[in-house]
Amino acid sequence: MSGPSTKLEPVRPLTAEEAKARGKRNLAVALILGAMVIVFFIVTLVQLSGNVAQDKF
Amino acid sequence: MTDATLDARKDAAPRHQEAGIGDYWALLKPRVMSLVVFTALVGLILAPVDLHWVKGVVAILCIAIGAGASGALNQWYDADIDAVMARTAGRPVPAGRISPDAALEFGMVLSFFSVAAMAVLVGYVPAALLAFTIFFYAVVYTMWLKRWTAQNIVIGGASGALPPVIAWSAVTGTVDLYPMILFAIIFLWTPAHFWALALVKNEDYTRAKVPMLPVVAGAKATKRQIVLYAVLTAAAAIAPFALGFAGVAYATVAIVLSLGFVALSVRLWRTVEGSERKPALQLFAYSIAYLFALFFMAGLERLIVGGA
Repeated sequence: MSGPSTKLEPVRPLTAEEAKARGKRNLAVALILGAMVIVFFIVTLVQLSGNVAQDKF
Repeated sequence: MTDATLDARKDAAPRHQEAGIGDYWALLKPRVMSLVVFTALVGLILAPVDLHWVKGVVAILCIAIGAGASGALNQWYDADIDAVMARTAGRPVPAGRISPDAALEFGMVLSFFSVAAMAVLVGYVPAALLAFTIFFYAVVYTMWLKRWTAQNIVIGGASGALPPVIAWSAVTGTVDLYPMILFAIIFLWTPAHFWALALVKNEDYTRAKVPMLPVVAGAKATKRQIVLYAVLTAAAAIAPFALGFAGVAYATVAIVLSLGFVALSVRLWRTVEGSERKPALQLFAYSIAYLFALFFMAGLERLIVGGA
């Protein structure tokens, strides 16, 4: 296949500090996704059965 | 968007590093978000029917995330402006800690999830209003009005004024007169609040070529407009009592604090040109406390006294 040649820049390895920052970020994303699943589950329970929790605003 | 703007945006982050969680948090404009959350919470409290507390928490969360998404999209698009303004040069994108592409993706993902979650978990009306708010701030204000007209923050202020309306609709499924009055209070408050800061940051805005009112029309005209909007805000602030939605406690606080707001704006107006810094910063600080106090009293009165 012929086409415009694209130059790929060499990937720079992460420094220890950058790897740590990425790890923390990944953990935060995982926690947020987990929290979302829990929130959807709880709201589904609330919507399906109005008497699961009686506290009101 | 011109090629020059695109280039400037890319140049704004020449050396992208691995961003920390704090950088992404800063992308959400947490201080703006706090005002949004607070006014939305009051909108939720003032609504005349009960909402299950779980759904209330979810509604506020969605509004907060949607506001944060708007902030991220704003910082993506405005990286070229932010880079030349002292007040904003340290933000994650112009400082090179987050790439413009990452900021855009972050903003888009949060926008999608906040609106989708609001639609599925709370309701379609608040979801539609939230989507409109994000669109209005990120596209109408940031991409269009901000660089085009001195009325940018007057019209753009609508996006900051919508959170209590969204919250109200999350409870009732509709929009009523009272949330529109809350909208009017924030909408009319925004110009006086923001122009007070713009007077002080005039050099920044001039350098960034943002047509803020002080840049385009000068300090004298801006100060006159601030007084006008302060008076209009005061009228809107008293409206909840005048129309029977709020009681005497709210009215007392609203009248006293509104008089202070107008008085500070008049003092700024009478200040000799070139020496506006101190009275303008005082008005700016007062305006924040003023809005917080109005909404706090409206919410507190409703919680203590009950529905009007």
